[in-house]
Amino acid sequence: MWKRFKKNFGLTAIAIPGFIWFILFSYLPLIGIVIAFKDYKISGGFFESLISSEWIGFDNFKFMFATNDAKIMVRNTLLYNVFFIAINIVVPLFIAIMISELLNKRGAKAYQTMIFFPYFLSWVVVSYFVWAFLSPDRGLVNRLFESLGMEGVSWYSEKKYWPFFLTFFNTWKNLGYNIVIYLAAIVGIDKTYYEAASLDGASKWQQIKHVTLPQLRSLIAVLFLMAIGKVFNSDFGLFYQVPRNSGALFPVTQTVDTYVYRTFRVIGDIGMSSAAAALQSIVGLVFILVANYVIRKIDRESALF
Amino acid sequence: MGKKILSLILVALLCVSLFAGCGNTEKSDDAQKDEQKEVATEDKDNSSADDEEAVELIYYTIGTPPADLEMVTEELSEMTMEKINAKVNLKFIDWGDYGSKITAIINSGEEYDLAFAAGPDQGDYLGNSKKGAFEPLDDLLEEYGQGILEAVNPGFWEGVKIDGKIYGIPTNKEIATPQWWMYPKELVDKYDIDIDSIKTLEDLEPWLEKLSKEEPEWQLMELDQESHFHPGYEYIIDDSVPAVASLNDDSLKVKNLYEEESTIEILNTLRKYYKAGYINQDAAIKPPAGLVEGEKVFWAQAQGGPYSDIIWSKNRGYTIVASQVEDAYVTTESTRGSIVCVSSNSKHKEKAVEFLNLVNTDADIRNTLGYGVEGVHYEVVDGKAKFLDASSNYDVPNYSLGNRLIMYPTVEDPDDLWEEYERFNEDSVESPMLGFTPDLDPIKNEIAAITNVTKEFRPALMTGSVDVEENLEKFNEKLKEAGLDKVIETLQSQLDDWKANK
Amino acid sequence: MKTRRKRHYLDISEGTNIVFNIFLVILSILAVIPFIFVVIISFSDETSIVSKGYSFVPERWSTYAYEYILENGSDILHSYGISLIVTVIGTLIGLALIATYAYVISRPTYPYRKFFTVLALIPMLFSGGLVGNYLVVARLLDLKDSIWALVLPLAMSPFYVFVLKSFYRTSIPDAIIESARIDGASELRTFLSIVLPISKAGLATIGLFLTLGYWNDWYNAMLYIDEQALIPIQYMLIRIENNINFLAQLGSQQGIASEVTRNLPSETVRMAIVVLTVAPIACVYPFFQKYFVGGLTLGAVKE
Repeated sequence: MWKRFKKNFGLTAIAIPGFIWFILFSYLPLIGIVIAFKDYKISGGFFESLISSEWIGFDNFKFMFATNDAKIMVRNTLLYNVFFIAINIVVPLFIAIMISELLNKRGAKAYQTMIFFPYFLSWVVVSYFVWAFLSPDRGLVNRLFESLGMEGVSWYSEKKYWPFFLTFFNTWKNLGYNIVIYLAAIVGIDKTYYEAASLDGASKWQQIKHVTLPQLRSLIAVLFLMAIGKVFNSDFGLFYQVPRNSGALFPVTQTVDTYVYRTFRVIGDIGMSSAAAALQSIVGLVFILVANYVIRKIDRESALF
Repeated sequence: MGKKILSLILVALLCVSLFAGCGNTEKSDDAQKDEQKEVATEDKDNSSADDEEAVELIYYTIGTPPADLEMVTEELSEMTMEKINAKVNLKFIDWGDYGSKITAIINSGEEYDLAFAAGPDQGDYLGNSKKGAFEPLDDLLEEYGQGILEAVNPGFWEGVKIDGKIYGIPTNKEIATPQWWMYPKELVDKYDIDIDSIKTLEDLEPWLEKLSKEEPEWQLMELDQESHFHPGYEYIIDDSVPAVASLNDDSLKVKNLYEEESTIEILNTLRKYYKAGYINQDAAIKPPAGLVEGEKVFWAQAQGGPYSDIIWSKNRGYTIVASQVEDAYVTTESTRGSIVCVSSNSKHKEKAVEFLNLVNTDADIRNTLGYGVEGVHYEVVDGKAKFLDASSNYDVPNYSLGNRLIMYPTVEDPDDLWEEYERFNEDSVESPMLGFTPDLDPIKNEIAAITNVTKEFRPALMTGSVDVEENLEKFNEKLKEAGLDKVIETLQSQLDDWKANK
Repeated sequence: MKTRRKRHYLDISEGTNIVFNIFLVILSILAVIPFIFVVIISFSDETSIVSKGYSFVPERWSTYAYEYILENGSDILHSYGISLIVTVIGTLIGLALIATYAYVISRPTYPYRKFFTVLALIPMLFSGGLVGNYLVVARLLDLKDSIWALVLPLAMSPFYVFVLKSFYRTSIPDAIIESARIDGASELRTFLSIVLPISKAGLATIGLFLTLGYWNDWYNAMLYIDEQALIPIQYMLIRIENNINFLAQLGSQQGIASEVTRNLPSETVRMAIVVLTVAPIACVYPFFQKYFVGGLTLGAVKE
């Protein structure tokens, strides 16, 4: 064993700085999770307080399951994530391939830069923009409808449109970011594969199918696993700011994060918000383990561990 | 070539980051040692009381950090050094960040001496007091804070008590915050409207009708997501939980606000007005944004005290006249709007209270804290503060920093400003529930659920944006489902106990 | 020209190219409109926004917002400086940490691969939250009011590590590493002289993400910085947004509301700050982009 360690010491040493970072900035803070299981009271410093506080098991978690609304928020969080994950993996993949195949490289650069722009804007700013379109009395869409002799829609109280809107905004905002990841991977593919394929008489489409996609397999698996680990989290700004906190839309916009936020405004209990975060992590862990297991069955190489 | 440079840089950085990591841990070890040393010496100092070393009080408060903060704290420290042999290190945390940052500071056990506290997103006076983060001050006040006890209106002391103990110093200011309805002077004069006769929404109707025809460019009523009406009732926990008790009698009977006749009437009236176009169409989704300058609005409501109309006029950019539409009640909410607490981890609790004593009794110190350095940020003209150009470099909130009534009024204020405050506070009536603090622990989960239900239904109902009958029924159903009955029952029994022991 | 014919069979047809271009043009327009909108508002007259709401064609144009920022602007320039320093140092340190760590877990023959993989995976799921992080960064490491509090906490992320790891897997043939090993090169040497040069696209991507991450970060500044001189530009913007949010919670407490609004810049100024925060980073973008779009030409490998 010592021998094995010595033999691999060169590689291990390279990982040490990163290892130290993880210990300092990821593992040490984990002590904070304990608060979720305590009735946290302050007496002296942090550790004194933590030790002297009473264990209360899962009491802090209960508020997330208190009512029927809990079902709605769990359903929303999971369903949106399922769609978001699928779309954010597939759509950028196609567009990245499209960009990589363009004949005019300057165009490729320009499109790629422009598609990245939404990523720069915060959700608050996006919500102003959306408001300019959808505001009930002064919005551009309703004014357009009026000029066409149609009746305006009060967008912020019609929940049927919002699952579509939210999915659209999410895709739109993250598209550029995801495209970059794919493009970088496509650039990294060994070009001899394509040449071999084309010498065999493979058409462009066959090359994509038989070279590009298989080469991206492990990246896609990683992106999928990373996303599935966050399946119980939601982008607060998207679900709170963009629909302008509209009550009528709660049935389709309430997620774990917005629920916790609204609760925290009335009961500022750190134990409860820690519990919410812990629950999100645990659900993510379960999903990631299952997903990784499935991936390993299909393709050993692509699995994360 | 480029590759080589790149690799060199990477290697260099690896080393740097490694050493930086080590360096930091060492540094923190040292710092901890230092801290311990400090503690040890301080303990000694305290025991040998008379020859004490000057302490520095760390004081977190809410508001946008002003540019000239350093200059002002220096000036302030000079003054406090002389009087109580202590310096103050004042730290402003911006409005929207105060809640998160103070939560981190408090819960991680960081040392500080004083902190501003109010509602759950502003330092959470109730939660943190119960959690043990703030020091109960009764004894310390007795010894070091006689001045504050005298200076602050007794109603405040009643209001800030939690289980019989005082956990912080309330700011002496208006003691009640009743609802006011405000109108532009221009229209009131033009149509000769007797605003004091308008006390209910129904009273408004003839004017709304008239103005909707004659003044089309004015928005008649401005409501937003947080608008709500509950005349005669007091929320026991928070406006997100519609468990209320009547202010007008001593019965202390807890009820669901949305099952009261008067509320249903209000909702129906609002619905009528919304349909008639008197209320802004986007009310249910409009986030409150204060009084926007230049917006032409006929009717708006706000909580306020004496001469609030002066501030509102300034905000609007045109003259506002306002009338108080409900009696001024001293409530738990109105007394807990601004409190300064002492950390239970503080090493200098006595000094902290002495400092607060100065802030609340010494006009020079209070003026410096609130207006900045005399001669730089403001000057005194006939007993009033006149702001100089540099005042924009020290523009801080005044409701949060301590006794307002010993400050200079500003030159824009009327002469009798503080007399009017005194009179207003004198005339305010104590709510029958004043001094009662509910124990939320057994009903936390229900409150979480109810809060979310309220946020879902109230904005639409309280702005008249949706049909009342159908939605109110759904609302009440969901409130029940969320556990409102349990909340009401629990609060009722707590209130009964409290009343019996009072 | 010589390569042109050779490449031809590797390319898509002219017709497909046109279809792709049209599609991408539409997509690009959808993506930049909101930003253009923000720019227009920043040049609009404030009073027309109050009375008429947002519009793509404002009633009156005005440069007031930018003048206002310039006048009160020493802070802004200073904050730019902080952001720049933090972003540059952070990106370099982050790249070094991530590139090395990801390389190690990408080696299929490395026996402790699984350990280091799981070690990086857990932080992706579990975080210490507000209190845990504050405890370590502000108290244990004592980084409060230090530029390192803005740099170090963001230097690594499990996500970047795993993405880069999979880039390595696609772009580095195991055979090259093996042959280097047989030649007797040390691991570090192999990594620096063989792995890094052929992973430029991957490194540029992670570098870009780190740069964006640092430039857009405000949370660490909010928590760890009291000193006004150390505030990055993004936090200046977010602070305003947070204050507006706070205002929205106050309801009818007009007394406090007017205290908050007193320090709140007008809407046009807010938009101008958005423009000023986005512009520099958008300018840096092409620098990274050349590594993952420029290298796309298939012929390039034939030189």
